[in-house]
Amino acid sequence: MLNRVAGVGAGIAVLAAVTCSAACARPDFQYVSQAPGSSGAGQVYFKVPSAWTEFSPNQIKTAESTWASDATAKNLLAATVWQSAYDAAPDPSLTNVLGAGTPANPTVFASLRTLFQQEKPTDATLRDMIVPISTFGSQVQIQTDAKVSLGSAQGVHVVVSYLPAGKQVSETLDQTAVLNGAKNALYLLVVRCSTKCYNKNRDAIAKVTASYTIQEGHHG
Amino acid sequence: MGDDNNVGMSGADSPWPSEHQPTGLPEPEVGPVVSPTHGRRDNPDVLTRKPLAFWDRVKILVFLVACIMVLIWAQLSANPLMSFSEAEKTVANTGLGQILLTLVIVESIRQIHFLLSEHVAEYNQMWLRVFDRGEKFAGRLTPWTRYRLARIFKWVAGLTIISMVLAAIFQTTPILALFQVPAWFIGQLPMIAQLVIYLFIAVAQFALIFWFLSRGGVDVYFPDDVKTRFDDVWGQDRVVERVRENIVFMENPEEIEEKGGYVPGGILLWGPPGTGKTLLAEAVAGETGKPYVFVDPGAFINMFFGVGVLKVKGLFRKLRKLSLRYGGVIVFFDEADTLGSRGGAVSQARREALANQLTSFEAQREPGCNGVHYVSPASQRFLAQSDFDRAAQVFVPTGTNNGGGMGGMGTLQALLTEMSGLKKPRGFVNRVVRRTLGMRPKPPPKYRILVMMATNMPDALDPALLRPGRIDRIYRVGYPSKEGRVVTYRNYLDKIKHEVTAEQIDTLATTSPYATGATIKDAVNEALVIAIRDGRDAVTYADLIKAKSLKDHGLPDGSSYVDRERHSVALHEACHAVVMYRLQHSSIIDTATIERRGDVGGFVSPIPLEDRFVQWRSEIEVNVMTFLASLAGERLFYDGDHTQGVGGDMASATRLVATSFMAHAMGPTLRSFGGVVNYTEGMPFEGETAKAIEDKLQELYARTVAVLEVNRREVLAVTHALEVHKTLSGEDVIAVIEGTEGPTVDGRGYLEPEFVAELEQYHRMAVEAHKVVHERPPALPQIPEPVAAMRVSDPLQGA
Repeated sequence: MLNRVAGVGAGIAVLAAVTCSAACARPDFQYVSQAPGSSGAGQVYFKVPSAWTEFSPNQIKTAESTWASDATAKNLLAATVWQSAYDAAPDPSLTNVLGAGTPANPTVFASLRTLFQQEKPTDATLRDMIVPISTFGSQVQIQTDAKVSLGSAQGVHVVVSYLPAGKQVSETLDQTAVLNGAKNALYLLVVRCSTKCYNKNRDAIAKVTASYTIQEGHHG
Repeated sequence: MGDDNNVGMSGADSPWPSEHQPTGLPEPEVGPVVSPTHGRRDNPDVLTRKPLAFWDRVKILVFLVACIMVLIWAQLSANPLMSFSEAEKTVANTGLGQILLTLVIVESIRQIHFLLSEHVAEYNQMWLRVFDRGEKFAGRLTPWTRYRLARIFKWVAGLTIISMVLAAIFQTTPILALFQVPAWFIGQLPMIAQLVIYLFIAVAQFALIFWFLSRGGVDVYFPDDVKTRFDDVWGQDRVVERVRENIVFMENPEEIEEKGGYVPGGILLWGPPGTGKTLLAEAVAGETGKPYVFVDPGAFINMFFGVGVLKVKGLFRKLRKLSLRYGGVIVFFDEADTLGSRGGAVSQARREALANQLTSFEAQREPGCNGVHYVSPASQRFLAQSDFDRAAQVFVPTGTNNGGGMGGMGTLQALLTEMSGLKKPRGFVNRVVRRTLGMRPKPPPKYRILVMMATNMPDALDPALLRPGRIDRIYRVGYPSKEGRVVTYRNYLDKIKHEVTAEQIDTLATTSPYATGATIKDAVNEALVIAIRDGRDAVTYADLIKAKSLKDHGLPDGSSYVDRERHSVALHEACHAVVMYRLQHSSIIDTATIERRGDVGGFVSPIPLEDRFVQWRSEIEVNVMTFLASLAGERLFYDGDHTQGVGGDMASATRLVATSFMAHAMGPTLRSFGGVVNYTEGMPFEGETAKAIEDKLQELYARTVAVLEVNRREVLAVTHALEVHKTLSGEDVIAVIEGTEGPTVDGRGYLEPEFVAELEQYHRMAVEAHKVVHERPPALPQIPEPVAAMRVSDPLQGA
C-alpha cells in the first residue's frame, strides 16, 4: 500500500516535472493546418520553424487585394480557399513573401485554390505555376525535379535556382504543386529566398517541405 | 491557500475566565474554544498537522494534469505532424495551458507546505501563528463589517472578471466593454422576445391542460337554490341546534367578533351512514343567506399530481371571492374521508366500518341456529369481535398513505395550508410591491368561510385537519332519537295512505333503535310495495312489520324443513324465545323464525329497549342462559337427546362465560387476562379456570332447565305457532305465550286446556317418531276456532 502510494506520488511528481520543463521551452516548430472545413478537397499540414513570423489570413488578403489589379488576378483570389505565409526575416514583411524582389531570408507561401472549369493543369503547367521555369532555358539550374504523390494528390516538386531578369542576386525557388485526387483543387507550397540564403538554410527548408502533408477525405 | 483547520482563538484570548471553564455548550457567538497551544483539536499534544489522505493530497493535481492531457490530446489529434513533446510545448505556450501549469505549480507548493506541516512541528506552529495574526486582525472587525467588505470584494472581483471577458468578446477595454453591454442587449431583444414566445407556448400547453383538468367538482348554490330546511332533519335536534348556532354567527358575525371572539370556522359531522349528515348540510344551504359551495367527493381524485393542489387553490380563491362579495360563504365537503390521510390511523376506522357490517345477520356462518341473536347488542358485538379481527386482517390493507381516499399527493397538505392560511397577506402588489417600496403589506380582510365536512369514517381523516382553527367543532350525528324516529315514521307515513295508529308508530320506533332516516324511508316504501302487491292501497301495521323484518333479516331461502325436523327446530327456537321473554328485561323480542337463510336454520332476535353501555353480571348470566336454552330444551323435551344445532349456542355461551371470568372478574377469581393475552384466541382451557367455566355453565344450565320446566306449556305453544307461521313478530310471540291477541296471531286458543293437551299429545308423537325413524311424524294439530279465525298467512310469504 505504502509502496503504491509512493509510486503514484512519484509518478505525479515526474509528470509535474516534465510538464513544468515543457513550460520552460518553446516548441521548435509552428504547426500549420488549413482551417477545418474551408475545403472539401482535403486537409493540408506542414510545419515551419517557430522563429519564423506568421501572417494572419486577413493581412495576406489585404495585401493581395491591393496588388490584384486585373480580372485574372481577382478571379484567382476569388478561387483561393486558404493561404498561409511565413517570413524568416528579422523584420518580417509580406512584401518579402509575395513581392517581386528576392528575399534575403526564407519565405513560405502555401495556398489551396479550386481550379477553374476549363483549367486542366499538366505536370508542365504545375512546374511553371509561380515562375515560368520552362521559358528560362539554360539560365535555370534545376536542383530537383520530381513527381510527388501525397496520398491521392499528385504533382511535382521542383527546386530551381535562377537569376531573375534585371537582378544581380540569384534566387532559389522550392515549389511543391499538386492536384487533389478529383483534379479540381490545386495545393501549393512555395519556399523562396536568395540562393545564398537557401543554401544556408537548406536543412530548415528541407524540414518544411518534407513535412508537407495532404490528407484527403475518403470520398475525395 | 493555507491551513486554517487549526486556526482558532489562542488561550490568552479565550473569552472565559480561567477559573470558569464552561462545561456545556459555549455561547453561540464565541466561536470554537481551542487549547492554548495550537495542537490538534482531537489531541492538543500533537503539534503537527493531521495527515491528509492520499487521495485528498493528489486529487487536484490529478485533475489539473488530466486537463493538460486533454489539451495535449486535442493538439495531437488536430495535426498529424505533431509529436507529443511538441504538443506539450505548444499547449504550454497557450494561455489556458499556462494557467493550468501555474495552478499545478501552486498546488504542488501547497502540498509541499502540507507535507512539511505534517512532519515538522516548528514549521506548522510558525504558520499557525501567522494565520492566527490574520485572524486576530479580521476579528477586530465586526461580523457585519466583514460581511460587507467581503461582499464588496466579491462584487468587484466578479465585475472585473466579467468586464475582462466582455473586453475579449467586444475587443475593447474592460471598462468600455461594460458600457457596451446594454447596447448589445438591446440588439439581441428580438431574439430574446422570440425565445420568450417559444417558452410561453411550451408552458401554455401545460397550463391549459391543467386548467381544464382542474375544473369541475365544485358547485356553488345561492340562497333559495336549495329548498331543504332544518325542519326536514328529524331526530337530530341537538346537532341541528348547534349547527344552527354556527349559521347564526355566520349571518351575524359582529355579535361574536365585537366581544373579541371569532366565528367558528369548521364543523365536522360524523356518524353512521344514512343518519342525515348530508341532509343537514343541505338544510344549512337552504337556511343560510350566504352562498353555499358543495365540493364533490370525487373532486380531488385526479389523473396527474398537482391537479388536486390546483383545485384546492382554485376552490379557496373562489371561496375568498364569494366571502368578500357576500360577507361569508359555506363550503361543504361531502364524504370528507376521500380527502384522505397522510398515513396510519386509517385501518381502525376501516375495522369498525367492517365490524358494523359484520354485526348484521349475514356475518354468522356457524351452521345450525343463529348463535348470537338472543343476547344484547353489546354481547353480540363482543362475540363477533374475533370474527372482525379475522376479517379485518383479510380485508383491511395496512395503513397506507392516503389510505382513506385518493386525495393525491399534496392535495390534503394544500387543503390544510389553505384552511389555516386565511390570515396571511395576499396578492403580488400587496406582498411584493408594497414591501419593495418599504410599506407594510396590508392585512387581509376577514374571510368568513365556514367549512363543513361529513364523513362516516372520522378516523380516516388526518388529525391535522381536525385541529381547532381548521375544524373547531366535531359533532356526532348518531342514530336518531326515539322521538326523531317517531317523527320520521310519521312524516314518511303521512306521505302515503296508511292505517297505522300513533301507538303502533311508537312501537315501531321502539323496536327499530338503529333505524336512520334512510332505513325508515326504505321500510315505509317496502311496506307500501307489500300492500300494493296484496291489492290494497293503504299500508297496515302488519305490512310495516313484514317490511321491517325483510329489511332487517333479508329474504328467507324458501326451502322448508321435513316435518320431523321442523318440530325440533321450532322447539329449539321456542326455548330461546321463552327463556328470553321470561328472563331478559332490557330487551324485547323482535322476530322469531324457523325459516332458513343460508347456514342459519332459524333465530330469535332481540331489540334493546334502550341503548346501554355496560352489562351487569346478572344480565350476562341471563344471556348465557338464553344460549343454553336450546340445549336444555332439546334434552328436556326429547328425553335427553339433542341435535348439532346447539353447537353455535354452546360456543357463544362458553366464550361469554370465559370472557366474563377472565376479563371482567365475574368468576371465582379476580385476575384478568384482558390486557395480557388475546383471550378470544388462545384461552387457557385447563386447570381451575376451565373447571370454573364448566361449573358456571352447569349451574346456569340447571337454572335454564328449571325455567323451561315451569314454562312447558309456553314452549309447546310457541313451537306450534312457529311451525304454523314460520315467522313470528315479537308481539305475536308474547301473544302466544300470554294467550292474548297479537297483531297477527291470536294467542287466546293456546290457553284452552284441550288444545294444551292436544299440543302435548302432538309433541309426544313427534318424539316417538323421532325415535323410530321410519315412523311418519304426526300431523300438525289445528288451532281451536277463535284462534284459527284470526290466523294470518305467513307474514313473509309473498314478500
